[in-house]
Amino acid sequence: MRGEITLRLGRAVHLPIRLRPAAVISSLFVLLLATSIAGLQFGSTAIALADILHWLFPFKASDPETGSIMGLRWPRIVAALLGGAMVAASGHLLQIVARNGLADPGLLGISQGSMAAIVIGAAVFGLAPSMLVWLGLAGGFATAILVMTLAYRLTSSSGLILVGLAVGIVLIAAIEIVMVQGGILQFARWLSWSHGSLTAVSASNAAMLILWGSFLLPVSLIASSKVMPLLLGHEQAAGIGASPRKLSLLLTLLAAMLVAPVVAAIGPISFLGLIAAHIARRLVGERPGEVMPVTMLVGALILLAADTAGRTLFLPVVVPAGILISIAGVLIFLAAARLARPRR
Amino acid sequence: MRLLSIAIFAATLAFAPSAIARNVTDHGGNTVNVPDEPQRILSLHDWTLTVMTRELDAPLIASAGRLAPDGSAFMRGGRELFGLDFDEIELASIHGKPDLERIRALKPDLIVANIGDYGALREQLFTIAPTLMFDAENGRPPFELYRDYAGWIGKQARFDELKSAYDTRIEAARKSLSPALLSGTYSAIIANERDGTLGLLKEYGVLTMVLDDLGLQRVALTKSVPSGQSRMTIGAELIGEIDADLIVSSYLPESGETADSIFAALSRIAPGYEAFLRAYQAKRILSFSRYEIYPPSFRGAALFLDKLEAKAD
Repeated sequence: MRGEITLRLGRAVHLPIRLRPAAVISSLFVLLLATSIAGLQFGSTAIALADILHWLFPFKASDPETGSIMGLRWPRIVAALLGGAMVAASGHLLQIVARNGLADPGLLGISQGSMAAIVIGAAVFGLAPSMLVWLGLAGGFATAILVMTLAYRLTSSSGLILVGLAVGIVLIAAIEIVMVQGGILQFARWLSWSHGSLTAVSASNAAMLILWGSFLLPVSLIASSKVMPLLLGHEQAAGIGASPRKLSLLLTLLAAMLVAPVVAAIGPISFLGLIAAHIARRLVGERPGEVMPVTMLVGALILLAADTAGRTLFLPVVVPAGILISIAGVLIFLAAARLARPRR
Repeated sequence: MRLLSIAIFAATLAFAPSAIARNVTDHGGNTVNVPDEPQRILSLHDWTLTVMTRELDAPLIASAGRLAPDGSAFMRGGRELFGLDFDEIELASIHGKPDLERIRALKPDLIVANIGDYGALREQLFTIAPTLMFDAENGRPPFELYRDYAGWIGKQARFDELKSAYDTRIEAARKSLSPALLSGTYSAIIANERDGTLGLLKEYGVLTMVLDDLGLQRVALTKSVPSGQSRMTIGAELIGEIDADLIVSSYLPESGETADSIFAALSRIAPGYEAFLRAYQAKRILSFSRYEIYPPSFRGAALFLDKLEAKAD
């Protein structure tokens, strides 16, 4: 087939590899590596590339000054890479479940569900951060189920988005009521967290994301190769022997699991799921198995670039990554909504 | 030989660095090992911590600041009360937008931050220097919090000296202000025009501190402010509950507000308030610059007393 090569390993194993996705993924990896090194190099204190490389491969003791700065930079770079990939993967899965290219954990209320659970857990019950991830997961999943149930009988796929937006608005109002009850101090904390900033990411936050990401990202990649029937619609999928309802439920749970730890560590990052999956489909087409890895890489790249730009370009002001992504996201959302064709 | 040993020992004591560490428990309940006499204090809240550090004559090297419309950075309270600017000390970060690398580059030996804005950053700040969290809004009187802070940074004696002068000033004010005012009631409010509500203040810097110390009584509704909090929001329909012999409020000059802005705000929130608030009829609704009355500061307290004496009599 044109645009495809076959990797032959002995006589038995023949792996067909499509050239375009392979080229896109390779290019994104290179871009991501370069952006990561730039993220390590630039900040309020510039560090020479040689010192960065020396710190990355410390065959002899690294300069303490560089080590100290790197101690502030590496957790947020790791969190940006993993958090970006996880939110983007979540958005892509929700777009498949909703059969709507505008779906996003924020637009479907899942991020808000996680936020509400985390805020209530922390502000009302004073739970420890390690517990908040599980609470965020439960909140995100419960919201996803609620939204899907409410939108069950709506024929238009955009109905799901409208229900998600409505539920999200109600949840944000509930969060604000809880925060206002807690006084100005609590409200100030909520406001800071709700911007989606990586400034407060610590080594333990990064370790938590590594733990969750190392399990959920491979699962998402595997899941993406099984979801093709859902793109046909539920009736057609059932006709070819798939279980669309069961599959949708599992994918929604996975989407909620991907978002919850990111919300707990960084705060909500609106529109990232929408932007990343949209760009990925433009790059490699519609096959979920190919779109998913590209979506993850694009999501990681966007969040890392936004965080690096936010903490270097506007000094002395540090702009939260979530705000920069929201600005870009609204523009892409409007463009995507205008270009999107209604599915029949 | 023995004499020489004693001389060396004495010299060692005399020239040994004074930065012996000690444990301090901050308002977040964290026990932190801090230098006995910090030499490079970095403040991350301008109109509480920066002001107090400056007033206590502690070695302040940097502070968080805010951006003025012209793009320049300034310190709320620090500028108005002490003429402090960023030619004198370094800019640590813009308020609410912390730059950890900039803070690290300033090499503080003690970081002081307010818990509301920086509680989530404590772990990161602690990798740079010992960090103490101050809570200006936990419902305790401002000068109690100030006393805590002075103890944390080893300036208890300076605090006591300032407090003594303040007590003398309060006694003088009791003699100069009218007995009718001093035996009356007061309420401290903030008018939230945006959502049509009023903030009833239980503790608000020297504004409430001074009035309490003068002997004025708070309106009964103040008892409804939840414990551990310094204010509560009430609807406009409760405006009658805040009526008192004296109503005090504050304005933010950087937003273009003046001492008269409170009247326009009350008109929008509770139209016709002039007819039923006796404080208005007695011309006892007074508003003061928030830069001067919010910081827990003896200089701010003295300024407030001066203005109160001028306006209330």
